[in-house]
Amino acid sequence: MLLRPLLLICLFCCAQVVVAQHLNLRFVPTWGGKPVDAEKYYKLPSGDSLQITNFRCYISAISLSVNGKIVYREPNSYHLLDMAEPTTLQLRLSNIPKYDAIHFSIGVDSIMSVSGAHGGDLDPEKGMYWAWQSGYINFKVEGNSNLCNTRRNEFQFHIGGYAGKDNALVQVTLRNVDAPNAMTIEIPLDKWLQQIDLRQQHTIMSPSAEAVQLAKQLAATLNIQQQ
Amino acid sequence: MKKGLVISCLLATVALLSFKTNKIQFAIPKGWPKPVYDFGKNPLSLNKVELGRMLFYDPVLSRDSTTSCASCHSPFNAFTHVDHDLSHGINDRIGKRNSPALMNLAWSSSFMWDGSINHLDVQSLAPITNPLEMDESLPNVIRKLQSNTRYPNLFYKAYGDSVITGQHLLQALSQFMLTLVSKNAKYDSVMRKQAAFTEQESKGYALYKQHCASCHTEPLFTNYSFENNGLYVDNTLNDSGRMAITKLPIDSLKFKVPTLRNLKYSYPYMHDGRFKHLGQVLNHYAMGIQRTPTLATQLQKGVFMNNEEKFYLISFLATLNDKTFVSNTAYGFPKKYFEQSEGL
Repeated sequence: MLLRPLLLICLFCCAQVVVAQHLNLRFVPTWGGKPVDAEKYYKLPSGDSLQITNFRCYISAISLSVNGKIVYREPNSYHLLDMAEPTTLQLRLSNIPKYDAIHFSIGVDSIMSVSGAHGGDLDPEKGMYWAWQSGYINFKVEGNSNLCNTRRNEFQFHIGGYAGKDNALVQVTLRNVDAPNAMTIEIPLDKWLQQIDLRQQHTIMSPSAEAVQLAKQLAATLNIQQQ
Repeated sequence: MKKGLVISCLLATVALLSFKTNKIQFAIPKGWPKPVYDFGKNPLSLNKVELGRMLFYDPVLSRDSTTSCASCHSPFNAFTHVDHDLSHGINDRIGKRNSPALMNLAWSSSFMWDGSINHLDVQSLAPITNPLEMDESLPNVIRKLQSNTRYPNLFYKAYGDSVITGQHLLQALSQFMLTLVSKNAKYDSVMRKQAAFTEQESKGYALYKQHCASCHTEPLFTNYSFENNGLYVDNTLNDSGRMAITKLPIDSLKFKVPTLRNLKYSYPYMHDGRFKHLGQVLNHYAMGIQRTPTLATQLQKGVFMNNEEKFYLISFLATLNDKTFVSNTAYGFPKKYFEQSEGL
């Protein structure tokens, strides 16, 4: 009978050795380096202003590498970030080895886009699935600006598409030589929105070449926030 | 100690057995191809099919609780809407296409006339959210179902969880629709060597093989491709079909090839329901084809048929009507659930 607690203690010790480390990942949509405030109006260099009322985004296929070699892949790696729900912006990777770079995709891959209704963060009830033409919306940026000649001056970018030329899934690689246990990844929406002429381009709600371009532009802005 | 173990083993076995008996094996009719639908990811069970059936007939899925799936997909009409060229939704809003007949969906690789939907599980989202159809949102449907007196229990029975999710709701609807298999027409009996074609039907079968079979391929009577069958463009709709989805000019005016099964019950015909009778359909192929750049290669030379041949062909097409399909009570309105209800 004494054996059992002993065994448990042994197992516990082993587990302690195996669990090398974890990584707390935090994603922050920012404007001017500060978290986006959905209530606030932001000034553009032109003097015009805008408000960002909604930012939602899938982060998927998170992996870690050392010297370009993948050493860790997060299982079932699909996360829906929602600016309005801060807990969704925090992810935790457990049991990870040492690494010097992190990789992930913005959006949902084609396999999940063609294989029916999924649960959890991928559940179509999350509002990130197109009903009229199958496929996930990889990310949504919504708000308003005096530059947009639309109803209530709204802009709506629903960026998605998984097939062929309209595949808007984009990959991000961020190098982080220090390999800390906590990392804050900035999503600088100011840099992204300032590349868009909101007078001309304010509404995208289906897969297109423009959507692919905007996805690439978002991927290029992401960076690790320096402490 | 031992007794407890035996009892718990017994309980586990009983639980396992009852779970197993609830399972349904999807039967593939002899000689039919392997279904496209991956049943491994959504294994059929009696409780899930029953839940799906109830949802299919429940107008709670629409914004004002007036319109159910069955409103446009009635069992008596091979799950389509008879006599309406274009489908209509809540507040009598008119859609832009004819509602398709629902059958043998496990073999379909895409859905809708333009193939905009890539999987049966996400098909239901389209009519639920389309403003011209049910004009509702998935989160709102879930809220309504969750506060309903019956549904949490039915979801619990089906999924072991009374918390309703979009995934479970959509997969349950798929389960019911997957059971809608039409395989007992006279044609099927003939293929099973349990019946024989009449002389007219045999002649019609030969004509079908000559003129129709390359697109309306046996045994499902469609090859699920998209083709331009030469219809003139209705300028009140200006529907470019598949091109709206792929944006490719080669897909202009192409629509999903529909099955020829159960035509007797599923009129009117074509994506915009423009033909009320089969005779009109055959006349179109014989004389009405519009030569546009994307016209199906099979129709380039025209389809020449005299009146006698048309008569034979229609005789054969009648052998594809499956009375057991449209009268199957397992597919019908689930009265027992709705009887106790207040609103319906």
